[in-house]
This record gives sequence, C-alpha cells and structure tokens, in this order.
Amino acid sequence: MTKKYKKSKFSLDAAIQNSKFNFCKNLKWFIIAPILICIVGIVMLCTMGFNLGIDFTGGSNMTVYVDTEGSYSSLTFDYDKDLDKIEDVANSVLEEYGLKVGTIQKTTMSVDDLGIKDANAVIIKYQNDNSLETEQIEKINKEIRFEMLKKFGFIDKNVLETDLDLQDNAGLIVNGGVTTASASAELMMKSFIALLVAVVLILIYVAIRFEFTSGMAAILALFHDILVTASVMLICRIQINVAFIAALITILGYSINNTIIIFDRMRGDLKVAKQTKSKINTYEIANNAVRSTMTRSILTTLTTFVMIFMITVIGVADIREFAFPIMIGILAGFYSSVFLTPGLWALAYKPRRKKKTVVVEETENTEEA
Amino acid sequence: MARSKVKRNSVLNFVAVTILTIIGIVLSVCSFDIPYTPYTYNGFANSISLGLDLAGGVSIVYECSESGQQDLDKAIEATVTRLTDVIAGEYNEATITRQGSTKIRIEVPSVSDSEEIFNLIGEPTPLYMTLREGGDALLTGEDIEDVEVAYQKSSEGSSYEYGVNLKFNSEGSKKFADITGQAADGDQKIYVYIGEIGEVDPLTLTCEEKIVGDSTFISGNFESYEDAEAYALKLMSGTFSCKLTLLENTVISATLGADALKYCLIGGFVGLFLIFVLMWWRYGDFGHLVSFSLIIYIVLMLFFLQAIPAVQLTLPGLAGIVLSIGMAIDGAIIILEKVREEYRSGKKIPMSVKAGFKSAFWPIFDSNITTIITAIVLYILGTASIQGFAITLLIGILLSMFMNLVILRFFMKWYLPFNSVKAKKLHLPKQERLVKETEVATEGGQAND
Repeated sequence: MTKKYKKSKFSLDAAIQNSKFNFCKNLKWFIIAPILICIVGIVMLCTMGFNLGIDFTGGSNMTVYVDTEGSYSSLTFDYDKDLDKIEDVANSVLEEYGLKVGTIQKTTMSVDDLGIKDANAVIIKYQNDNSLETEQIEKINKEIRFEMLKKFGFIDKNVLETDLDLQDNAGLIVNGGVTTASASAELMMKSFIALLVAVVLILIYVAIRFEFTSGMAAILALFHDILVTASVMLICRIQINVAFIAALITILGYSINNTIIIFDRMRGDLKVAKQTKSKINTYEIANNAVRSTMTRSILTTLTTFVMIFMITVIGVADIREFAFPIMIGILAGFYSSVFLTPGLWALAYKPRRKKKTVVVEETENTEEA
Repeated sequence: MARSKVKRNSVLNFVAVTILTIIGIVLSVCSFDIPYTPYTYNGFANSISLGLDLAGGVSIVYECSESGQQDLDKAIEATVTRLTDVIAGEYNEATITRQGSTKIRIEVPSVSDSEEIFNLIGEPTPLYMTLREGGDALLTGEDIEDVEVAYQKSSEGSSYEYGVNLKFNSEGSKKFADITGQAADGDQKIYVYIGEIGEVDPLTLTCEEKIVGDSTFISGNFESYEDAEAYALKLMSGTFSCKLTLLENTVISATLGADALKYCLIGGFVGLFLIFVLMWWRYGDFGHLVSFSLIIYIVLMLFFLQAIPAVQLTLPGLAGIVLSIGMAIDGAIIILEKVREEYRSGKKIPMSVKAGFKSAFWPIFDSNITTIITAIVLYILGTASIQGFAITLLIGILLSMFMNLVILRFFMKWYLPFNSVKAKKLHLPKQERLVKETEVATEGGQAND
C-alpha cells in the first residue's frame, strides 16, 4: 500500500513513506508523555505554584549609578561586564530578607541636582509581597549600596555600615522606588475569557468546515498545547509575566495550523473513500493523512521554530520570557497534531452513512517495530 | 516566436517587481531631505510608533481614592477617559489604562521626564462649585471640558491682562449659567473647591451678571503668564472625577528597548537567512521565489505597521511579527509541498503548479481563518497591550495570504516560461511510474482496496 522509493540518495519524503510507523494506533502510548508532563506540572503548581514575575507580584526597584569620575577615576567599572557582580551583591543582601533579584538591566539615568545627564546606570527590580514598608525598602536599598561600595573598592572593607553616612551620594547613587503589579486578577480573568471565546469560535469554525469530531479533536489538541506549555514553564521554574498570556494566545492561533493541514487531507481521503464506496477505515485514513503531510508539518514547524529560536538565543531577557513559551508551544503543537489529533479523530469518527458497516480495525501494516 | 514573447514579458515583470521592491526597501529604511522642499522624508520602518518597552518613556501609576459624589467605579472610568483626552491630546502615543480595581497606569513612550506629564494634569482631584461655603455642589469637574490660559484687553483698554478660560460642555454651560445667574442676583460669591468640600479652602469668584455660553474668562489679576498658567493647572487638576495619589513614577530608559530591538532584529535576520537556505535546499528555484516574495511581505508589513494608527510596536508585538513571518512561510510550504506531490503523481511541472495552488487554497484558507478568529477575539476582549499584538497578528496573516496566493502565484507563473521541464532545478522528487490520477490527489490507499 505504501509506495517504496528507490534509495538512491537520502530523501525526507521517502524516509517517511517507507517507515511503517503507525501514528494513530498507538494513541494510548502517545498520551503518556504529555500526561506525565502535566502531572509533574500540577504537582509543581500545588507545591510551589507558578514562578510569578514582578508583573504579577509587584515589588521594588532601585537604580544604581556608579560614579567613576573625579576622585574615583582610578576605579574601573564596566556596566556590561560587572552586571553579574552587581546581581550577586544585591542577591546576597536580599537573601537575608527572603527576596531575590527579579530583573537586572542596563539603563541610563539623569539626576538634575547632581548634574548627571544620561549616565549609564543599572536598574534592579526585586519582588516583594507588598508587605514591606517604604522604610524597609529604603533600608534594603541602602544595605545593597553599602555592600556594593565595599565590593567595588569605594570604601575600605573594614568600614562598618553604621560608620558611613548613608545619605552621602559619593561614589555610588541608589534611587529606589516601588513597582506596582501590572497584572491583576481582573486582567487574568479577561485574558482567560478571551482564550475561551477564541477556543469556542475555533471549535465552531472547524466543526462547520470539517465536522464535529474534527472540531473536538482540534480543541483537545489546543488544550494539550496550552497545558503542556504551562507545565513546562512550571517545571523549568521560568518566571511568568504578562507576556506569557500573549504567548499562550499565540500558541492557540498557531498550533492549530498543522492540525488543519492533516484534517484537510483526511477530508479529501474520506471523500474519495465515500465516492468509491470502499470500506472506511478511519485509522488508515488518518494514518495516511499524517504520513503524507509529515514533511510539510516538519518543515512548517521547523521554519517557525527557527525564527523564534533565533530571537530566543540572540534576544534579551524580556524577549526570551515571551519567546520561550512559544517555542515550547510550537513543539507541543507539532506533537499534538501528528500524534494525538489524528488518533483521536480515528477513534471517535463515525461516518454518517448507516447502511454500510464501519470497520474500525487495525490494518496489516500497523505492526510496527 | 510566441514563446520568446512570453519569456520577455516574464523578464519585464520580474525586473519591474525587483525595482519596486528595491524602491520599497529604500523607502522603508532610508530617511532623507526631499530636494527643493523643506520637508524630510522619514522611512516608514523608522517611523513605526514604538511602545514603552521599546522606546523608553514614562510610566506613572496612580491610586484612585474616594470621590464624594458618585460611586468609585464610574468615577475611575470617567477619570481614565478624562486623562486620555488631556494626555493623548499632547502625546498621541500615550496609553492610559485602568489596572485592577483602583489603579490607573499612564504610559507615555519617548518622554524622558515625568514632569512634562505632571505639568499637563496637575494633581488630579475632583472639583466642585458651590454658592455657599460648604454648600452643595452645583457644578463638578466633569462639566468642564477644557482649561486654558488666555488674555484679553484690560478694563482700561490700554493693556492686556492674563486670565484663564474655562470651557464647559453643554451640561456645564447650563449649570454655569444657573450659578452665575443666582450669584449675580444675590450678589453672592462662587466657591470653587479643588478637592473635597470641607477639606480644602475654596477659591472664590465673583461675577456681575449671568453668563450664558460654553466658555467664560476668569480674570484673576495675574501678574504674569506663569501665574495664570499655575491657576489654570490648578483648575485643570480639578477636572478629574476622583482624587489620584501618585504610587509609582518610573522613567524607563530607551537603551533597554534599543538593545531589545537590536537583538530581536539580528535574531530575525539570522533566522530569515536560515530559512532562505532551507527553502533553496528543499525547493530549488521555487525556494528563491518564496524568499523573494518574503522580502516583499516584510516591506509591506513595515508599511502597514506604520500606516495603521492603532499599531504600537511592543516587545511581544515584535516577536509577533517574527512569528507571522514564520506563518507566511508555512503557507508557501503548503503550496510547494502540494506541487511536489502533484508532480510525483506524474503531472508535468506547469500542471503540478496549477494543481498545487488549487489544492493548497482551502487548507491555507482554513488555517488562516482560525488565526484571524483568534486575533479578532483578542482585539475585542483583550487589554490595550494585547490589542496591539492582535492587530500586528491580523496584518501579518492577511499579508501572508496575499503573499502566498497572489505574489507567489504570479512569480511561479512568470518563472515557468524559463523552465518548465528541468525538475532538477526545482529539486523535485522522482516521478512514480504507476500513476492513477484522481481529482483529489491522494497517496495510495483506495487503489489497492
């Protein structure tokens, strides 16, 4: 049934066509991996919860400006290279309060009173649960400044914190402020409703264009993609900010594409089967559809993945926060459209013609290795 | 003869499109002074409006508190509208959003000093006008449409004096006529509370006659323009429905965004290059046509991002563009895979191309519609930042359909006169000997049943 190609040289198509792998029959094995991922995800959710970013929790920020002019000109300080050192110092102080640095980034700052204009500086944001008083935040910021002064050689290592005039701005300036949570329960709710409405509309569209079984299979696949992505974020302890919602929605819009390509092929094969009045073997139709669309599924996934992968690798932290879940989502989408939806469809689809008996059995070439 | 003519037309078409594309690229990235005119042309890729995270700017968060007159929820909504009017009038890229139940966030890209915003809105608080000290509010800040510094000839007529012009909405005009009428009759003063009645000392106004109309001039014997301006700002700050307390005031540096933009662009270009190579490896000359149409797609994308006013490019939006490029290629892959399939089943190259486009249309259409549905839902139900992303996504999808179903189609049509037999140049697979042509090209299956 499956055509053999001459193995003159390597061909992606031939490799797939010649493989006897059955993509539909082994549904029960294919769902193990995502279920495992989701279980681990749920366990993580119950024990540790999401690693919520500053967008959700709010927190404090401090701008650190290091003065290497005038009397400190002998000191060297590089904002690019010393970013890690600053983070270490800040973390060592924050740890005592059970906090840690959320983001640390280069910025520029101007302080009119001191004649600083567009000078390089570092902005550190750290989360706190909003229970900290302003005075406490100020105290923490001062401590961080003190440790930095020591670390970068502005003051002697033996100087005690109490000896130092903390109001003094010499050498290193720290400006503190409060960062409010930009993501609220309301925003989450709104986004969640948007997601749900989108899912329902997609279900309706697919049900109209194909049939209801396809629609349901596609929706289950979408839930799979979103749950797996969220679980991976939970498992890898990757911080979640507002961009994550946008990422989930993107996955929703994108991952269905491969599924539709396969459904389109199944629809075609089904039509032919009905026309020729041959027995409808849903497993065979689904399997053939997956097989013959495999190269294009791989290629479309690969091209989109390459684009997102590149900006994840090269991009800055903010982009990564958004691009990483999309990467996971693209992979999950590929998995679900190849290994889950066709199998689900084959399992559930019943042709409407009643006079013919439907044969839903395994074909001879399903005995894969 | 006819054949060479077709060929010549194809060459002309390709040359024309290439020239147009080069012009498009130049227009999108180059900025120059237009000769003999005072105008400067700004490339549209450079004038796409950037969000706060890319352009840097000011982010201000206010906490809204009590408004004596009405329920807080409505007052906050009214304040958001009012803030939008005032700030967006000056900075049209500003976004004012309600956050949570009692917070308002103002984000103004490309501004480096929060003072500029504070100078525009003062310290927002409600305003009431009464006829008795501590009396009932007869007119509130919501009835005032605008406050501006103005001047008129002084009563002696020799010099000009500064004052403040109050402009009312239709409701406000009626109320104000009422108040001034009563005040003039009873020789009463008008008390203006900027803040809650009983908590702040009122400003007093006197008037000699009933004032009908939608605006009035307040002469306060101001000594300078600055004095009048300060007074105007004070009144202006009273035109908000609730009292706002500053919670957060952050100036975000543009360097953060510049770095993000730079690395995102580098990443995008590297990815694009890899895709060009991949397209060539898989589809040969057809792959080059895809790459060419992709360049046109990107130029068009840049154009629309700049031309559509609702678009504000943010970091997720940028990633959205990169993603939509990926999706545009998906469409091309679907078409070219169908072409390969048709060719393998025994058709000649031109027939395969035709059949490939035909059978690829519906899958492309269906998968794009689902994404369009997502984008529209996001636009309707999403918050401001997600709306921007939704528009970017929508433009991307519509353009990708145009690229695949129109541009790529023409390119392949123009290409065929040059090569309609050499499958090697197109990296096409071997044709199968046994061919059973059916309407819907399927792989094996029913033939053996």
